[in-house]
Amino acid sequence: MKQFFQWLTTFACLLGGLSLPVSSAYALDAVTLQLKWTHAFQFAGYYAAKELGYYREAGLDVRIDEALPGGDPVKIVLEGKAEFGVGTSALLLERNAGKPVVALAVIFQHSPYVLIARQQNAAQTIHDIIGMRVMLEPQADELQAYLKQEGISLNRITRLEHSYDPQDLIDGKTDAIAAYVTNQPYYLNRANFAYQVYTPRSSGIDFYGDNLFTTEQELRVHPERVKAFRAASLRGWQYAMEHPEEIIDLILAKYSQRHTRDYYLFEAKQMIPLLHPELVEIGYMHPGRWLHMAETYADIGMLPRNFSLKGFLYDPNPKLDLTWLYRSLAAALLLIGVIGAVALYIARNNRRLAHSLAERKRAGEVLQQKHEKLLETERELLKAYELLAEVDRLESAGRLAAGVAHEVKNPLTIIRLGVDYLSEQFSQESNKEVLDDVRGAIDRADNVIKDLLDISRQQPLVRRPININQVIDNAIRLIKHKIERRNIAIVRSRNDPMPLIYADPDRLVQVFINLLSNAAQAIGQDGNIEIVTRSICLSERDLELSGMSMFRVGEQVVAVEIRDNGPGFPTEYEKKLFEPFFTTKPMGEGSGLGLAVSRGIVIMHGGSISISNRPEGGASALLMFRVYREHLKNE
Amino acid sequence: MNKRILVVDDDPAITRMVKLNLEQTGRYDVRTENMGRRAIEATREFRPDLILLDVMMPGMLGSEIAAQLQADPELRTTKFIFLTAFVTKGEELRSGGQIGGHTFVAKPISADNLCRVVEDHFRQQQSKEPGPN
Repeated sequence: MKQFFQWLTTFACLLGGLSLPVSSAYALDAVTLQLKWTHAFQFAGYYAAKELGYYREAGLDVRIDEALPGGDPVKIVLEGKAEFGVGTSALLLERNAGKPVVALAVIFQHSPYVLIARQQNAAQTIHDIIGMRVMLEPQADELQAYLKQEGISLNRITRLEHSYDPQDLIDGKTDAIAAYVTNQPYYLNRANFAYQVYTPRSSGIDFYGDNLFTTEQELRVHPERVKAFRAASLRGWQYAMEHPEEIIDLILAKYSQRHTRDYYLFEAKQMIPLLHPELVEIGYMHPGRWLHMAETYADIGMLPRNFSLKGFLYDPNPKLDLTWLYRSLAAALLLIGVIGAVALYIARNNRRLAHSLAERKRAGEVLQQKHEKLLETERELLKAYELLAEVDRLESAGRLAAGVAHEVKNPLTIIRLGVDYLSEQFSQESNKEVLDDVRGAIDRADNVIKDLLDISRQQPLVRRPININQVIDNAIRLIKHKIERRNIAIVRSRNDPMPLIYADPDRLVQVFINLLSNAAQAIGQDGNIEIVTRSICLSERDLELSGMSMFRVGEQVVAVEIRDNGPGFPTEYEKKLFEPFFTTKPMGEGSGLGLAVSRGIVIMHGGSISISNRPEGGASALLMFRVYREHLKNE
Repeated sequence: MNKRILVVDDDPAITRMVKLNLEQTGRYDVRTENMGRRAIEATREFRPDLILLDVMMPGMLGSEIAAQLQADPELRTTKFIFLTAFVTKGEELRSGGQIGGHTFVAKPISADNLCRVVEDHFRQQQSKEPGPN
């Protein structure tokens, strides 16, 4: 996928008619990037872009300035002392205050900003912060929104000025601190200090972290420079996330020895789940996410309602997500055609001109390779398009859910309790049927809302090395009663010991519960479900079956197959099975979200899931997960 | 003697339904309150053995009320159970009715479940208290 995105960038240049600044013949354009903090891995991509010459290739000579204590990157950029800056989601507030800032790209897909509290007991929650001393800086708006969402008003904590010294927490000078989950825990871990991390994401506040910004002025006067700087920076980030150790060496050698190598390694590792480089193209921004942040600010009275994003979000390739991909696709097909024709022409010419055999063969091979590469690219484009569309769909479903859950569940509660009360008062048999129907309808509505909430939560995974067989045991235990009622037998076929996988058992158990209930519902009455777990070395055919390009041939994976002997499904449904709200079950038996949710969870784990009909009848779900190895923890 | 229960929810229809169903058992005296900010006052007057507390209310959140009760020397022993609409299937499976150490019930709830949760609560309280001798 990464290779593919690099390819996309190159392709974007060809198609978008972007003229890459010709660097060699002219003097480089000097620009400054203002960081928002001192040098650290947090800014790795920019160092990489400079060191590897990406900026130079873009015609730029970039100076990277770290922030001085008390310095304000936004102010520095607005004053023209730097052309570009690294900012936070608070850019929205600056924009609202009339400052012409423009967000170019988002690097941190999730904010690293959290509250860290001394651990007093294992069951403590964010609510235990009430009455505590908390070091909170003035611009802690995101955490402020979090506390508000949790119903904790600011006057119920003792707010201390932030010292930015984790030692103060260890020494008991404060009970909690606002912190970046990417670095401060490093010192706490080293001191063997017991703490708990509270992230705003747990209450549905999901801010972007670091972004890259510029001013309207810069964008108006130097649109090409902005485009080139952004593209080179993102290329740098891509490289940095693939080669963290190399960039750490670079930071230590050229930028800062304020921290140890170990510290930067910790930071790099902590950043991976926040950037999601394997899932999200670095730099990607979703207007819906920005709107969510604007709404959250509005909730705490820091922005007016319905704040307009017009002019705030930079669009490097207008209409990129759909039409642009289609265009690339068409162009790729065209190129394939052209190259085919050229190949034919050359081949004929060759024959006529009786060129040497060796030369002809070489030309043919080159063309053949190009042709194959283009075909592969075409396949990858299609896959990327499907993934983008799906992420979009899931996001909008989730946002809707959080909004309506409260409004729908209250009326449902009234109906349910009302019906239960009336059924005590009118206990004739004829009434009972009607009342049972009403109860069934309430359960259906409730199930849909719960599934939607599942999607909207997007809580970070809590991953550890686990044995998948234990997760499956657990899932079976939880829904045993439903399966036994239908007289369905579960047959296990397992390899033990099983190689471990790196996963969140609580989230995975949901996937297996969904798949097992689907299988049971497909069977109806009397039958069996076979669960096969094994560890395999992937062949090309396995990859085809899994349907996703997350794995490589020869890679060791844990595979789970869940086979039922039900009727299977009509082949035309195969593509739709994972779509939200698609269901083949009779009205009321399924929300149509189970598989969409399951797939989301599996993808978050870097795994794959597919469902197919078995030749001998019935359906089979195939899941694959990478085998855990110490060094893969970072992926 | 009947146990006293205070039900706090901004929706009067919900408090009415909860009251009807709980009183039907004949074991509880139920008082309702629809204004979050009057909940503390109502607690002081009514001295309930248990409060059923909605989490999301305009003006004042259930968790804020709970925090105020716990900070009040006179009322800090008051027990409460949260009612919440924001529960996913995953949370139901994982937490066994507890979030952050507090019992919660997910809306929508059936009358049977409501009575069971309340009964369980009082049974547990009883086993915690010292014997009558």
